[in-house]
Amino acid sequence: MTEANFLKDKNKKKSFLYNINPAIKLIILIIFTIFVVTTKSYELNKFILYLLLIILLIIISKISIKKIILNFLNILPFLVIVSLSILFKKSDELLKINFFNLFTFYIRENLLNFFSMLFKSSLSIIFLTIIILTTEFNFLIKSLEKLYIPKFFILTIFFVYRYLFVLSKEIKRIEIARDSRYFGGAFIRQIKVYANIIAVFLLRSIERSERIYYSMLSRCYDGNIRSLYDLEFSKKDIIFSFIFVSIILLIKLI
Amino acid sequence: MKKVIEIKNLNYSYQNGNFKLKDINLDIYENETFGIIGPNGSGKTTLILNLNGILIGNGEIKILEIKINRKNINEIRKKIGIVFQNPDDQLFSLTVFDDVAFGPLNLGLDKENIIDRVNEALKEVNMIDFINYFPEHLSFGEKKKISIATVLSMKPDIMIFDEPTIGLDPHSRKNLLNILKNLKGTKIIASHDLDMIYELCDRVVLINDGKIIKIGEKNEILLDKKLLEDNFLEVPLTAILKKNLTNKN
Repeated sequence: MTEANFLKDKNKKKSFLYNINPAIKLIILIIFTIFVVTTKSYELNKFILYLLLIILLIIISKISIKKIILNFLNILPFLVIVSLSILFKKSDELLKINFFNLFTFYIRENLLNFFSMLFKSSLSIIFLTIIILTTEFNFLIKSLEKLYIPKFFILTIFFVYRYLFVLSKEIKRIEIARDSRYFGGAFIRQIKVYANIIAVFLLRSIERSERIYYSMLSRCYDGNIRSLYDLEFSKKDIIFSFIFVSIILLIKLI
Repeated sequence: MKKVIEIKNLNYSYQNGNFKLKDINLDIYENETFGIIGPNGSGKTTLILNLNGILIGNGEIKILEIKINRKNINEIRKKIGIVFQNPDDQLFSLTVFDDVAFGPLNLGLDKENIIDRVNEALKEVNMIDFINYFPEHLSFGEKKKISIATVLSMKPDIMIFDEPTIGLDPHSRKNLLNILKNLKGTKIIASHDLDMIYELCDRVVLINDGKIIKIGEKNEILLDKKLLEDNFLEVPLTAILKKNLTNKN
């Protein structure tokens, strides 16, 4: 695929969700997160319905479940750490929970809050993963701009994504330099070496960012991100967002 | 011949005071290929960055008869394109297309025009088939060629190349030399690859420690063994061979 067809082909993607306007996807993510976060801990049936909605999204987006699980597992430890503090709250009553009018069970309030927080954050993260996996990065950046996210944040996200590979190569090079002269040694000394590595990496990153900025300036960059990709709203976007918001509203009202 | 770059009494020092360009006076003419040579840390890159207003020193620089100042920097940058030493500093987008389109987009061109320019620039460096590649997946030589395309797509009047052959294997170097040879317009090449400078340039300036040591025709400078050795450089092998062959004939 070459030449002018490039732009057209770039827009042609596999699933239904790929073709939804990224700005709409981001707005829906925000709405979904607000609804999930404001759901009370004991409303387990609603959590299950939100989960079913997420599964439905995964199916229509045609993303491999394995990919989503792997991405999620990377973030799970952080979610657990953040939620852990709830377990140590002072008041800890025993609560009776009714699950879809099918059965009831008893659980400690803190434990319930812990699981509900973990579940809420997991649902939001999985939704975010689906959006990232079904959206071209350039479109995502463009839609952030459309949603009036401050330019500073957009540029930071853009450059972190782009230079992740370059900087990881830089770290590897520094590591090789260390390993080639490392013959074992005291643990404390190794900590000092790692501190030096971090310092060198930081300095090199600053220098590199300066050079990248120079190269952008020399191509008439004036602080505005310009793009060739148009993000126009279609009928499909409106129908999708209407259906999605209706579903989560319905879940909320149950 | 028309002067495209005029530098008068240029002085520049970095904020930490580590390095200085001292009293640079230089004229570069239309359609010539001009070489800037000097050892590492001699001030080649600092001089280049002054030419399109990324660094602004004391003194006067005129590009195509326009005096550089903070107000007209964007106008100047449309006329003078720089290909940086390390392509990783120049390629920051997610596809080759986006990188090559970055300059034309900033020029405010319309979509069709941008696509045409990207295609044209990539064809010129024989990289059209890589248009939708992620730049990180390309070899160093390929990245270098894309870097040139990122500047070519802006159609500048003057092109500057900072150490274009550094880090390239012989095959990629040869390819790059052919590309540079075929480019039209005024070209400035900063390098200590003196064989390349000898092959491509008409005139040369030798700088060391931020000062101009000598400006002249390439033979006048590149065959002066003492001058080059005094400034930590060597007479290029191609120049010696050519001189010997000429003498034999």
